[in-house]
Amino acid sequence: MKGTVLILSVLLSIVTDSAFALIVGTLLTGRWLEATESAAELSAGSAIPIQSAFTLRARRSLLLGCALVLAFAQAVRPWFLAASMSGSSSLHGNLALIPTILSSTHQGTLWYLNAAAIAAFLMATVFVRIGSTPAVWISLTCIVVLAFGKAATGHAADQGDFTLVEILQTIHILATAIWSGTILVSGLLIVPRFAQQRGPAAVWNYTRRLSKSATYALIAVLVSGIYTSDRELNNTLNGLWSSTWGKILIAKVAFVLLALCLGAISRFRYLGAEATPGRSAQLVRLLASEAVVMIVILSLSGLLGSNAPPMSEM
Amino acid sequence: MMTFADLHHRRHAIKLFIFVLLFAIAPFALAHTHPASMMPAANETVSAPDSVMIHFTGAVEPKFSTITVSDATGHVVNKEASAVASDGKMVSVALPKLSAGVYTVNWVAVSVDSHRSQGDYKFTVK
Repeated sequence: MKGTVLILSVLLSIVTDSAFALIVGTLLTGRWLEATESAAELSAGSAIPIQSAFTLRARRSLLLGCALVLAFAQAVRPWFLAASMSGSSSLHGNLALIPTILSSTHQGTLWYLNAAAIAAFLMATVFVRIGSTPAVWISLTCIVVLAFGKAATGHAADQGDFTLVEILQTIHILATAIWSGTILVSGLLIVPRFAQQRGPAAVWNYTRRLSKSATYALIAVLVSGIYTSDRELNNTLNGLWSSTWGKILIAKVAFVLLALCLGAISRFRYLGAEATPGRSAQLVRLLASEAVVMIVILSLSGLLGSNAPPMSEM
Repeated sequence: MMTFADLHHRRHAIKLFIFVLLFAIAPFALAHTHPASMMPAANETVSAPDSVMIHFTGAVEPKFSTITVSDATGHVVNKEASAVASDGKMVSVALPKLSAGVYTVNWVAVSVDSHRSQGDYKFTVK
């Protein structure tokens, strides 16, 4: 793939990864808010519902928007697969290859699986009440299927399906989406409104939960990542500084470290201290910065996926 | 107070952590499939072979992965199309009786993650 096709393909991958992360983040933070709401209802009534920081309507719109992005990406994906497999950028030539790709390749089979998961998710978002038990189960199934679909269409599948590498890669994709998605939604949408509507104590309660979940997700990202990447990085450490792939990887490491530092500061410096309005405003800014860093990380991941590690250029 | 030894240990710990991180966040890279072994091997001189076989590092797409063999004049000598074995990694092409000379094997491999790689190598029939 060359030039424009490559750029479009990278953009498509960044947009779909971000949409997937936002879906996971929206669903998970929505559950936290519902749980906090029921706990608060039990203890004392509150003038402003906790979920007003991220209303059902806002959640539905975000989920629907992200699902439509995934559906669009899925619709154009066969053409990009054809471009990748044929090595050509010809519009008509690649269109002609689509039936063959969909009927007789590994990517084709998975395309149907992913399309079914996206369609089911869209239907559930439109017709089933968010937060209800059927909606939760349908969403959860679709998310796991989509994560597996992504793992199985990547290089993790080159030794076959349902291998340990592929399963760990699925876990890695899910954990990455939980980590980045919850931070994106919380840092940009929920926490700023919480600070405005409910004050520092509520921000502290919410951020503690976020911090705990982000830590567990990050451990899963690291453990699954170490196993799945080992094969290709082993022979490429020498080319790390000289290859494009290596440079993007170094940039990604730098931004992951930055996100970790921001996370650690919010956890140990702020959440360990007393909740005050001054600290609350700083914490809101810190989480928003972490969310922006997450967008950079997602973009670098998309770029990394479109470059071959040096050892593969044989 | 932090001693020099503490600082030294901490530096090592940070280096180790960054190294671990390098491994942990790299897995989204794509991998191009390439030949792990060829028969005849590259630049090998052999008696006329019945077929050319290439074992790839990963599974390939049968509809998009091919081998063609051509003689020194560039004329394609294989009469049949290449085929992919059931393990998905071995691609082979049957050959007619080859006369002595230098032959070029052109291969195209599309891995199951949809990435295409290609290459060529020569062998000599004695």
